[in-house]
Amino acid sequence: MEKKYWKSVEEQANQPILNPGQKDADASPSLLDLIDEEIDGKPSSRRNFLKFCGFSFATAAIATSCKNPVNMAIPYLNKPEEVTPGMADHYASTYFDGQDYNGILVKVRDGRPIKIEGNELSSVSNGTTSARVQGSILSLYDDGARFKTPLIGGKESTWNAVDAEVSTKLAAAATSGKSIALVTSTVISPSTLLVIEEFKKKYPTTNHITYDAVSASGLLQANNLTFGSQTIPDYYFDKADVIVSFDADFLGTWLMPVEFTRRFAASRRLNKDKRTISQLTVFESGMSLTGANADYRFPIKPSQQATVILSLYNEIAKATGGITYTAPTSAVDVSKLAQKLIGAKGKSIVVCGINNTSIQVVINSINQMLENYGSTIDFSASLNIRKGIDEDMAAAVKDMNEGKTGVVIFYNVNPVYNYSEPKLLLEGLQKVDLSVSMANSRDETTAVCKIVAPDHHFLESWNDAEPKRGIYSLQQPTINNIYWTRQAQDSFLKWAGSTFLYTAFLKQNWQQNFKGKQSEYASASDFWNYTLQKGIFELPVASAQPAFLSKAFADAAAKAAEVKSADTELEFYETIALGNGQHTNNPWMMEMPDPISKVCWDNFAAISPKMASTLGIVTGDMLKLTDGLELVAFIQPGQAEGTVSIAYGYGRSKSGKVADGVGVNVFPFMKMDGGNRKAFMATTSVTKTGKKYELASTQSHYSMEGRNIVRETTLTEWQEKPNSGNEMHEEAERHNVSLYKDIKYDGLHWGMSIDLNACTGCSACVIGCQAENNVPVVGKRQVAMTRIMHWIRMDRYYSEDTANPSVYFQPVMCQQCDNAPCENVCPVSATNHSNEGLNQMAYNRCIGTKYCINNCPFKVRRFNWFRYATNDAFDYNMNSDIGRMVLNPDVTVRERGVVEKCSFCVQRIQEKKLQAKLENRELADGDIKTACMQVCPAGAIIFGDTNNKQGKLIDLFTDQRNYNLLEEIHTLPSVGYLTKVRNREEENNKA
Amino acid sequence: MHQQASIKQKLITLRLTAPLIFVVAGLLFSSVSQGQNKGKEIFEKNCAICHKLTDEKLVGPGLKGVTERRDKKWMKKFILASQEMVKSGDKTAVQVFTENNKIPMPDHKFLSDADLDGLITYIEKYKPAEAVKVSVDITKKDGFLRDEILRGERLFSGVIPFEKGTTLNCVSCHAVIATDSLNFNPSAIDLAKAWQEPNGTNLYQVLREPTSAKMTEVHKGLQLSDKEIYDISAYLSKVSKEGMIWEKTFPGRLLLFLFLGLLMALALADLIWFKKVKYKIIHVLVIIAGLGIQGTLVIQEGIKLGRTKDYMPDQPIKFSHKVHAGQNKIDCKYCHSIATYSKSAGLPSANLCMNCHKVVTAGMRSGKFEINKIYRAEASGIPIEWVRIHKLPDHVFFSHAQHVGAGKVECQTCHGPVETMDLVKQVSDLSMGWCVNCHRQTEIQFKSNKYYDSFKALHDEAKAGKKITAERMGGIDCAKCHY
Repeated sequence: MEKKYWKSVEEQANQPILNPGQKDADASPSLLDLIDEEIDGKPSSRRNFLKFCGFSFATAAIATSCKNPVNMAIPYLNKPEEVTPGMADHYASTYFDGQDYNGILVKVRDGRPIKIEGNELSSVSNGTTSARVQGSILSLYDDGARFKTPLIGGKESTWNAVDAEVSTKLAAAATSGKSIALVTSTVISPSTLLVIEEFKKKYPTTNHITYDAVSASGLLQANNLTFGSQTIPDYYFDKADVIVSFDADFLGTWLMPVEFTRRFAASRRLNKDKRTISQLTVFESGMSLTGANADYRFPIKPSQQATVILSLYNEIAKATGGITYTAPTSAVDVSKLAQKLIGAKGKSIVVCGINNTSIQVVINSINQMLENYGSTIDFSASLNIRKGIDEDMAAAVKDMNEGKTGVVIFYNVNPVYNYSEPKLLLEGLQKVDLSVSMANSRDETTAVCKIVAPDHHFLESWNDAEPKRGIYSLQQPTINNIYWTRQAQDSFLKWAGSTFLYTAFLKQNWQQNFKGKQSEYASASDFWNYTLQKGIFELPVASAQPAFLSKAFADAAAKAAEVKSADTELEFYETIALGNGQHTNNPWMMEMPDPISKVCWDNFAAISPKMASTLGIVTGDMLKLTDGLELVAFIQPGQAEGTVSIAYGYGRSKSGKVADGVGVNVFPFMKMDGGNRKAFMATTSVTKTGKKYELASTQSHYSMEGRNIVRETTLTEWQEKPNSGNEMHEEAERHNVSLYKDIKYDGLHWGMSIDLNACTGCSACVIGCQAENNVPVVGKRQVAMTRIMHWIRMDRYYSEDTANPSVYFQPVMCQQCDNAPCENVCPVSATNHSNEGLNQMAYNRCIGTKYCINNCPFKVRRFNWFRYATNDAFDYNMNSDIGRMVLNPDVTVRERGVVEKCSFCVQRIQEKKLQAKLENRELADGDIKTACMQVCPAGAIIFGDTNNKQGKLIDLFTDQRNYNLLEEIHTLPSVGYLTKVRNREEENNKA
Repeated sequence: MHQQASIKQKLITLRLTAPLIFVVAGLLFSSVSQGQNKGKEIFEKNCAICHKLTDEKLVGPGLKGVTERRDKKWMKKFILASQEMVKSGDKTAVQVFTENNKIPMPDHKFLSDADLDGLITYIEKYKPAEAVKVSVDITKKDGFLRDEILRGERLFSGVIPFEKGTTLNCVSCHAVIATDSLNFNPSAIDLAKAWQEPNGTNLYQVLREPTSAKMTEVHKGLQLSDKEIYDISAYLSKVSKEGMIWEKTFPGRLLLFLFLGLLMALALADLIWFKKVKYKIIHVLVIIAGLGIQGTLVIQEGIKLGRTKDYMPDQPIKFSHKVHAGQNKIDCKYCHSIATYSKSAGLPSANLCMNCHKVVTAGMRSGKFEINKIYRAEASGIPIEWVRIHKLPDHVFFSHAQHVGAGKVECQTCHGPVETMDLVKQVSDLSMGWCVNCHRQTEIQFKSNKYYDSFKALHDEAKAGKKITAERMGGIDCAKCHY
């Protein structure tokens, strides 16, 4: 029997899907209705008709009598050598926001950074980025939220005044013996750490507290207990055959998702030579990206994790002769899993995202028994990107409240928003003499701090980074500071009484302390210049595997077993788009549909379909979850029974026009428990409040009506029959006949292949495309009316059981059909075919009939219902001069009333073709990378010339897994998909 | 020295023989100043390119105090033929030569001994111009009385003659109407701007002592009183506020359109009500012809909308491509250097102008006024705002690199014979039809670029002698220019 795929519970149950917004759309009057009304409602409709006519004539007359404006062309007075008007420069730099690390390349056009790409030289990012890094460029131009000057007491001030005030208060604190609390996010910059040392030298009472809103505190402390090293090892998913994750969303948000996605995808890729893939088993409550990509997924309550982990430990210990412990009965039978893990000794990974020291100790013991340390888990190049210990911050807040703290400085943190006890913190802040925040844009903490000493944006700053031991990178400014801000390190140096500027400090540190570590460049200036050019400095890391100390174990096992279960549990998680809420004011991230729920512009309470039917809840009902927490319900297939998942990162109140008032902040519900912040809590009951709320979800936009567009198979079947799951392809090919003459492409013929086995659904491509192609943000209401403008739609399908479905991701952009249905119906030939096989779209010819949209079988065309740029009704990033600076000058900003769609990044194609011509050479395979291909951390998207017989693309197109969407209707798409292969012997849910 | 001495002697005699020969004295005086003036003229023509009269070094050394450093005979010899002296091993000459980067000073054998005397005297006597003392408030740049402005305007336009009767008036050279675009003299607004700037032109000073040979020539015989200059400056303050007067063009086509409309209305009215004209065919003909002509007008004007063929705006500097690219044969790509590899052709930055204009400080026709604008921009840090002529709409992607760099298209193909234009004019209409036409006709350079090697089918056709145009490579596809 054919498998049934569905996109939402409503679709599966065959209920009509109605976005509340859609209803509104039907109800809201159209312009014609308005005119009708206007004419009908008045006693003299003829007069009104003439009024409208007169208005039209007058408008036409005014429009046509306009003079051509006089344009000025203003050359530089002294042209900087490196700037060529009309050509982009690329600067290697570093992205680290306290949470995610990425080696980046910033594209600067005429002095404006306009796009971020991954640095191909960086072993961490390998030329790719996450969606958040793509979006981070927008925060540079956030005119509404960024500080224009330093503030004292909320009023605009000068740096001199700030320096005077801060220095006095610091000196006063130092003399009175009060402590100075320097609260920072994880700092991975070696030079910044030195600056902080300088600061400490001047003010010895300084207490540097590393505070991560979403910390790895439990993991760090567990590693300290079991290895005597408070660091995080690196996880090599590419070397693993069996991967088990307990609530660690390593493909989405956990530690280093970009690098982990690349490694995981490497282990999942299949071809002629690589005939086997890894197997991923996930235990979690809410459906995460990792869970969606799992071969086996077990929805369990957060409190049940410990029982499963302990039981897995016991099973493995039994088999390997280790000590077993008494543990509560496990929620899941893990004996088979244990066998598989033992079978893949040294080639498996067990990861856990639970912020609990004891549980992490048990996990470490499992990995130790499986001999994974040194092979798949390695302490040599340990990760530096999380250093915060939750208790440190709690102690600091206690000190503040006891009046022991004189000055508190916040650097890159926003604890008023995301600390577990915001009230306590606010009281504490009242008791300190001076509070300083160095945030560069408005947030909840700057609102209560006496002084705001705004830092530069990271694209305006100098810095360095050591994300992993021995892996360094440099950060350089790509634009002069737009506002009167000052780099935080410069502020620290100034307050420390140093005459150094951070730029010089950084350079000196590198030339003195890093130059000696290499032998490639002899002179210090060469070393600095070339390293800065490359952006990275990576050293071979000596193997370092600390010995396993098992003495702490018994205690940990007992503690882990103590976790109590409740009937209903609330679980808090990070979303792919917003993370810990730092970037909530970024309209691109806000409008990025969550890969799983497909909801944007809100957080919600995800409940299981069963719970929904028991309590009579439908999506859109407001729920009271616990005291002080009311949130809209969303029915999430695969949600563990008795759990409600809620994303943090929302509920900002003082962040800016995009973020404020959107969703609910759940950080205050993440309380301390056993030394770490706990990401779940028990609740007594979940009740409906009776109110309704509208969610904007794209999950049911453009349903493909159950046609055979999703193809999958299992590994064993594929190994036997390479075209398993894709048998229809052959059939469709056989019927591929046409009355018309075949179109021949003499030269180039562009195509794209998407490996559905590698694609994890992370949606980085969606934002990468948005940044490259000036795709507008349309806002919640428009999204609800299916008017989202993204050129790539990340389709997510479910199949099988609603309680625990299999999930399937499929990025769908314009398929560039060679026999395109949209082209035939355009009355003005605004969309037609190029001789390179592109389905081109001439915006200025389009008259907006939308016939093409109706006739497109893939629903990838978007209509500009409004003018989104320079329109204050869409108050996001395209209605201010500063905001528009991010626009790509090589791509037209579309006007109201025209249709747009993916162009295969034709501007990049043209650019690289021109470059080849200027360099007098043939175009090489891989020269042209579309924006989506370039960002994809999994390397799932390959773009190229299908006529190039030596190219990569031809191998993929001739692979037996390759198929086209709706190939039976003979539109001849230029995009091919490779059938997904799951490594699953049985039904989901049974390991 | 000789001439100097003789002057002194004559002055002494003059005193002695007092009032009798007053006229002679006057003549002598003028001859003296003429001799010095000649020295100035020679200096500006031959020396000023490389030497300044201050301590500042240009190409050659600054000449302040040179008459004290060097013997006059030596100087004369050196000016006439410096290289001969260097070769003959004259110590000082060799030293001067090496000190100045061994750039040889050209020979000046055409100068007579008297010329040399005049020149050396000029150098010796040269004093930097002192601020002229005037009886009016020269700092005043705004807030003039209405009467002053009015009188200034009349003086400027020649309605009132100047006191010291000369028939010259300002307006015949310094235009106030913005149509005479080929006039190399600074326009009234230009003058006003130059004067109004902080540290701008001191009108009193330049009118007394013209700054360039060109200005000296055209201002000859002009002696304005302080009050007159004051009034003119009053007028200039008004000009700077109001800008140039734009000449209105006669709206011929609009009138024709309206007239036809009226005619048709009459015909219609006559047809329905008055019935004065017997033959209805006349009404019909009038209406048909009227609609036809009106329609043609509308279509013609409609096509022109957004197009700017023949656009020839005034530029902030009277920069002549004819002088630079035509007469001096400077390659287009010397100034528009990025055209071969960038999307934009690039306007030269002011520092590129300075490559030449550091030395070339005065123009043949414009004198120093226009070139000074570059120096002013450099000094003030305010870039020059040129008026853009060639502009494609935002939805068109055009790359100079593709056409100039890869396609090896001559600049003139699109921009016309710029090297013959004093003021650049848009020659092509830059319409899509014009682009597409060229793409249909232009052949691909298969042989000279390896890029085309992979286009086997087309390559073979080209080898067989067939003409492969840009169109065959997709040159008229939408997405080549619109994305």
